[in-house]
Amino acid sequence: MLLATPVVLLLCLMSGSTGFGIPDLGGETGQSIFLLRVYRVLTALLVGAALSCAGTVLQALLRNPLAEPYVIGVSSGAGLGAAMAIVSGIAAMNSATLPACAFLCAIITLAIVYILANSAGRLSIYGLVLSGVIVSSICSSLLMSIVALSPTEEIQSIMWWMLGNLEISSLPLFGVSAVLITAGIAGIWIMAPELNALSLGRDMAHHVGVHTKISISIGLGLATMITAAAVSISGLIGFVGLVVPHVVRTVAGPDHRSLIPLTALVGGLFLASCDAVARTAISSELPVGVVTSIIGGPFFIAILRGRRKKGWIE
Amino acid sequence: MRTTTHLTIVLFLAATLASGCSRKNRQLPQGERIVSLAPNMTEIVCAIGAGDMLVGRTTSCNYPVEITRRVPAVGDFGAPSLESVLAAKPTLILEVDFQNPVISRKFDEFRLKRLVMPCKTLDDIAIAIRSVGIVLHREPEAERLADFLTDEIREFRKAAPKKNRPKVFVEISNNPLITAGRKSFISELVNLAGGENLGDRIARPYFEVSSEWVVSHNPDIILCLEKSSPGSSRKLAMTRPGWQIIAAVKGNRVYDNLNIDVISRPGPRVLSGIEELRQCIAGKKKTE
Repeated sequence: MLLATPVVLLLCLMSGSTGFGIPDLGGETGQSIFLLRVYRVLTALLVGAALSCAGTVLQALLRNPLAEPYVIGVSSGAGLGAAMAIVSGIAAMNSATLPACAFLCAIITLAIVYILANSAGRLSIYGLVLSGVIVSSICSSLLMSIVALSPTEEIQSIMWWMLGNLEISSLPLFGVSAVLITAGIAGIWIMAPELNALSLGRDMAHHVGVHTKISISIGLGLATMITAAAVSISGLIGFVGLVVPHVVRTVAGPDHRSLIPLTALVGGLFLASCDAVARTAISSELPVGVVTSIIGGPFFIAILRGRRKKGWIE
Repeated sequence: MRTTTHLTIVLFLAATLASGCSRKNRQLPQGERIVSLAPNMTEIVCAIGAGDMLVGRTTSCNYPVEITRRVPAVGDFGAPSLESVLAAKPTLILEVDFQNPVISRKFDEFRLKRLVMPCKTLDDIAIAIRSVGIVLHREPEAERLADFLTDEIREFRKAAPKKNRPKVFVEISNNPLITAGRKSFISELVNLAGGENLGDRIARPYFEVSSEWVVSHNPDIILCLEKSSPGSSRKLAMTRPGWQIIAAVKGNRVYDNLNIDVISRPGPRVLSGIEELRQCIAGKKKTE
């Protein structure tokens, strides 16, 4: 795995819409193109790592194999924020306003879900999943009503945003997201022993001395923060956060101390490779969210079929 | 039983509407009650002096300004409201080629007369003007306008330089980056105005590109055609990561102050659109 990393990264840097190979670094244009590819690969690594780690955490905390970064409403919250920014014209003012709106709405959505699930004084796991689904549906309906009522050009922007794109529009924004994501993943890694205990069940975790409510809240907060940061720079990219954690778990085992860094690495590399395909497959651009499922789906089905005995799958 | 009742009501409604329309026809043997479902068609109708026949337009039909006060909107361009169209009691519906076919079929069910004009190229405009002129009995006016346009376009074609044309990147949208390709109306205008449209390298009307694609083709001029607050698209293009080495950014040739309605509509105002693009490409227009 560690040996494959530099090879995959090199291949990603060599592929771009202007042809395969390292661009001529002597010229100004070549340097600029190379720099753009570096940004894109870095963005893919960050976003992929963030989504897969968030998926791992949520699968552990919610003890649900279908949990993914978007399950508690982060995606529809962020989508709603982005659509409102596009329709109200805020997005056209500055390249940082759309991601900021998306981030803010994602955090607000999580806060609402958390308050709903926490209403009786005890944070309930089922409550989290259920209120997540309900708040998600409400946000999606609001989003769809915005789409239905807005003029054609804006629908296009909203739709493309929802399919995901790893091209960054401003460097400072990328910097902020990178810091948030790195800090979030580091925090999750520190929590690995608690995650191990919590994935055995809440009572079990309590018996081995874990403050379950605090740990669940912190884990949820970190997962949402990195998901929202990822979504705000790249839009909604599906599949990565759901499947990468399962695959890594079947191959590397369920110990979160090694699972977290490995998922981050695999998720990042997987998204970077998918983006390389998205940039080069046809003469213009394919949305990367489409490629993740089309390319990744069959690949991961093959892995899961070969390794049925471990992980969630019996 | 219930189905039959419904059917009867529908038939009754259809009959009432049909008779309403035909009665109007008898009262106004010369005039039509026109609903125009495209801004360029609205402009054509007004340009041949038949503006007072308009009884419906789309929300995008904003020229001539007078019609926005007088003629009610029956929905958005590309998404008209069937009910509003019917309420305007039209005798003729004007459409362009990318009208939603489902709604067009509905118009057929209500036996509404439709004129569908493809408006994909410059030459289509004169054809559309002549056809509308014939249907509205305004042949002389339509003929004069169509001839004038055809002559002027021929002049532009003659005057357009063949060599050393500056490379132009047309930015239809900046998030995602979308440009106009070889089969687009805008590409035809840019080439006629003396530029070389970068998107022509791909045989599709509109498509998404990456920053890398734009940098590697190094355009001399960037035209931002998305609707946004003044100066914001220009600022975004000038500060986009990696774009500082593009000739257009270095040479301060990024324009976002073009009259988008005129440039994007295949209608009678197209000549002033070409002229504006020519000013841009020749470097005679200010960027701010």
